[in-house]
Amino acid sequence: MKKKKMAQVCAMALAGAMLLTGCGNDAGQSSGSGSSTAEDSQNSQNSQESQAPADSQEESSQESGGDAAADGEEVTISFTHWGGDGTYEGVYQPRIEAFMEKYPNIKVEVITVADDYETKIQTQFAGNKLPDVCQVAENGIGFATKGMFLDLSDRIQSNGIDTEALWSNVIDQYTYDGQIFGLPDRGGCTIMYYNKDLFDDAQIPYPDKDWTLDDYFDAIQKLTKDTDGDGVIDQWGTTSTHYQAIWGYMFQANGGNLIKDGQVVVNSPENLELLTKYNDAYQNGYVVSYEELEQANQGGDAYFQQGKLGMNLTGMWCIKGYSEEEGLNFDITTVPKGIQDAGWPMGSALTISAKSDPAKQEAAWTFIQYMTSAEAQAMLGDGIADCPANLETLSSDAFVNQQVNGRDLSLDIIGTSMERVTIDGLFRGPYYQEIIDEARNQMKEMLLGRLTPEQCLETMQKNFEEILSRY
Amino acid sequence: MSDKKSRKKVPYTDRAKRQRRWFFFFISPWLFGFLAMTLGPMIYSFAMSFTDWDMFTQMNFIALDNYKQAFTDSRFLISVKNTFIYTFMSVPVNLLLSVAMAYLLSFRLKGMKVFRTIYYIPAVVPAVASCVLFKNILATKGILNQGLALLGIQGPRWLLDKECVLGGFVILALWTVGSTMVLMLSAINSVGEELYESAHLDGATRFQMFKGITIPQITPIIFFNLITGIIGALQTFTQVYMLTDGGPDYASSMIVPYLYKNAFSYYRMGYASSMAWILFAIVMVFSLIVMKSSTMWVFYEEEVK
Amino acid sequence: MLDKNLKIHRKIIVYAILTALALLLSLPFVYMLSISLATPESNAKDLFTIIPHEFYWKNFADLFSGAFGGSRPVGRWIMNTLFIVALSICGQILSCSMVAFGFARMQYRHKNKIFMLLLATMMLPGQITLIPVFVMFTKLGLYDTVWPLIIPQFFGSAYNIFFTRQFVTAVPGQLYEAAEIDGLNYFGIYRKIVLPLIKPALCAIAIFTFNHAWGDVMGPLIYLQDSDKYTLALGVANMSAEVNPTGALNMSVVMGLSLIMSIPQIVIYFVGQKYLFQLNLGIGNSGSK
Repeated sequence: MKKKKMAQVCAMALAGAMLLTGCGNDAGQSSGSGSSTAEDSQNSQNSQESQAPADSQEESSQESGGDAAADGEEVTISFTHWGGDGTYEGVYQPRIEAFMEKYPNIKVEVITVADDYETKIQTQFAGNKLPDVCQVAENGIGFATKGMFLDLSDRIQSNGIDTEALWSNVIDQYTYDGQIFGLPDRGGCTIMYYNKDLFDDAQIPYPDKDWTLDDYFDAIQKLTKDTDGDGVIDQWGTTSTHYQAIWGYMFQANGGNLIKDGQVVVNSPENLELLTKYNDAYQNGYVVSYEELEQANQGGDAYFQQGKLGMNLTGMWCIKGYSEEEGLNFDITTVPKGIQDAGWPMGSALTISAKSDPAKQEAAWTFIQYMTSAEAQAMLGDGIADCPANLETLSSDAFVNQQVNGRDLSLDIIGTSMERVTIDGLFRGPYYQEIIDEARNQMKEMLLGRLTPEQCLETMQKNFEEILSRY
Repeated sequence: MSDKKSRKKVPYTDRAKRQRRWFFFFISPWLFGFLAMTLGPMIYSFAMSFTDWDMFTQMNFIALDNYKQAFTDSRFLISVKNTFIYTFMSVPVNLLLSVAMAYLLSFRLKGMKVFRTIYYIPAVVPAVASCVLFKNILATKGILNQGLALLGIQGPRWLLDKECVLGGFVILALWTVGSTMVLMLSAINSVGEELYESAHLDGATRFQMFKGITIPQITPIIFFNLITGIIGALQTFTQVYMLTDGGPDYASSMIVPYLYKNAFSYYRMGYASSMAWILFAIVMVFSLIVMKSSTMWVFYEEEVK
Repeated sequence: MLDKNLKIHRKIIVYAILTALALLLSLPFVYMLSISLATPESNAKDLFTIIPHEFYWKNFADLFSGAFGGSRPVGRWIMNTLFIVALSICGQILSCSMVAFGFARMQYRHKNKIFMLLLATMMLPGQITLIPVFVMFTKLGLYDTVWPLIIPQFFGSAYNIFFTRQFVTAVPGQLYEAAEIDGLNYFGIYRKIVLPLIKPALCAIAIFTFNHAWGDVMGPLIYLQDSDKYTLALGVANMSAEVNPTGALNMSVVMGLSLIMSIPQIVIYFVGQKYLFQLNLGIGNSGSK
């Protein structure tokens, strides 16, 4: 009798387990279907839809997105981006409100993700709950290789969108296997801030678009000082530690790469030449040290705001904060040039989920087309809410000639910087994140004095190859 | 006690049957949740560990490749090592400190309510805030080293030196000792007054009473904190994720943050699952050792084994 | 303990140690306060001191005007959070006490093996079961509802069950025998004898469950979509999330919001102390065998 009871319990447990593993496997398979091309899933889902909307879908997809809304049917699409309420209010809200006014039939539901964005969208994808439109940046390529987004190439073509004129090389960041999976929305790349007063003191002419890396390495030495004479350096040339947006672009400018055509090429003479200079600058104390920076949550950016740095190479998000600082006499320019055009992209794009309901895909397309249009991008650039990705907007008089907190800044250099951006092999594979993590790690080891530049590049070469072999 | 013996000799008495039925009745909430919600995902993740699933595309069965990979992955091995070191450092110190603090707080003196609250506050500060805070505190020129300098000690670069970074994590763990302390204090307060009174009449000193009465009486809770402390420390995540991201050069990399990165940043769900199950095995071994040893030092009112 | 007879010099020593530790432990907290009261200028430049030297209360005023005057449904968030918190506490107390009693007092041959199973559920990191659990809840149609945050609480957490079991085992055996003689069945023993005796443990569970449900960000982040359904912690996370991609945080905002979020937890603890540290319940007083 006891055995019977035990058997019953066991059977119950087993049944429950099987039920659930069944459910689990199912989930795996259904998310596995994401690997099939976007077209497949569109077709298979279309067949389940009632015919009427599918028909109108076909039609409108041939024409410009505006007509999708004209047929009078209400559509709600969901859109997700990372950041906080501040990001939403500054970067997206004005454009989304304008969009909904223009297309009253399309409602946009916004999901702001404060943290763990990638975890959230992957989980949503696995559960078939991915929002229709997602923001992606460097991480986009990894997801795209897994079939997470729709291929937009046909739509771009049929709408006559000139990607070259609008985004130049940046579009390459959102291209995989010849398919474009995202429209660049927020732009930006590394730019250089310089403190005019400190340059005057050191009697160095202000940097301009033709400044070279040699000028830069010269200048940081001259800008490093002990201003109060207590024997401790309290003014530095710059801040450049393991942030890839600085050394990464410098490698490119100096003719080197991390990864090119799917091969690891980090251990090259060009890179060694550059890295040696970069390391010397740090070891000689021309760069704010880790020990100094550790306490600063804003990193080197806060040091520039305190007037302690001659230059700061970072994204354009500092323009607003710096321009509010009354005593800070600064301007911006392009990052120093090497032997070839280079720039580190910092923007993001808008994509359409491969699992988006076909009935909503057209509305989603209308939405991302609007968000990246000149009209909307001008709103983004107004008051430097964020950097528009649209090159035409960046070179427009309205953007270039605007004042930021009452200051005239060389905003024209942003367009120039963006045009110089090249997307090398690093950005073209799903390995981006792992390579960058490892590269930052080894850079830090070198700067902390535990590796020579030679050892650093050798280790990177070895470890990158191992990483690449796993994708 | 005699009841127990007779139960063994005559296994299928009515009483045993009734007890069994009641046992399942009482544990049914958990059992149901386990069967309905926990077992499935556990089995699922176990199955995943034998595949190359990336969460998106079709998975392939690759047998033990993930496990073989794990044992040759130097970054995983160093994460295991760090996790062990951290656990061995933080758990005992945490236990000792929480017992000592709880004992101090169990004195019935004026203002104790306030002290108890102050000691507990760190445990409710959100992890984001405490990690941001400790990034500043543990900085080379941060307040910890400033304090040490007052004592004439040159503090290390806590978060930059490979040898010190785990020490920095232990310091953070000590700050949040409050939640363990609460459990200890709650147990100490449950010890019957009569025990102390009779010991006092026998002329026992305070320390003798602490050693001879308090400690044995709260061993069940010490045991609980030891097991859950080990499990928790072996699964350390947030601190690493927010404070150092495993750096410098993997010196503070631990198992869960590393597997999380593999799962959600490097598209290796299958591999991450295998690491999770290796961790599971490690935790299981530790727990079993502690459980086996518990009969020697844990004092149960009535033997429940 | 017999602290009334504590000699004066001992009292001083105890107070001295207590005060020293309290200072040490509260130092980071004071630092938090100092950061949250820094002016925007000091904040942008990372010029913080441990002891507040600025008292820029406007930071807090701004937090509140941003939170309550603006478009954010903070009232809804608070209600959502309280709903989750209340149900979670009920669920945990009910299930944990029952399950713990079962494990501590009922006899069953394979009890210890099942108990190991219970502990085993704690040993697999949640990060790895996140996806299958999420898929399960979405299949049940519970995505974008608060139920995935509440339902598991009614099954008890292994941690709380284990903790309660440790308490129940300390209840003297004579009490049960007496109760059985009085004709109580096991449920009666659980309800009339055990529940009142383990009140401190249940109080501890309630406090911990409150802290977890109140402060949890990851759960709501994964399961909730509509901002009307957010919990306060998630809403606050959105308010303090970084604006620029390098991850620079507005320290004053993070610290200010963290302080505000901690206050209810501290108050609950301060008030709950009375029950949490209830003295001399009779537990363990037969230990002098």
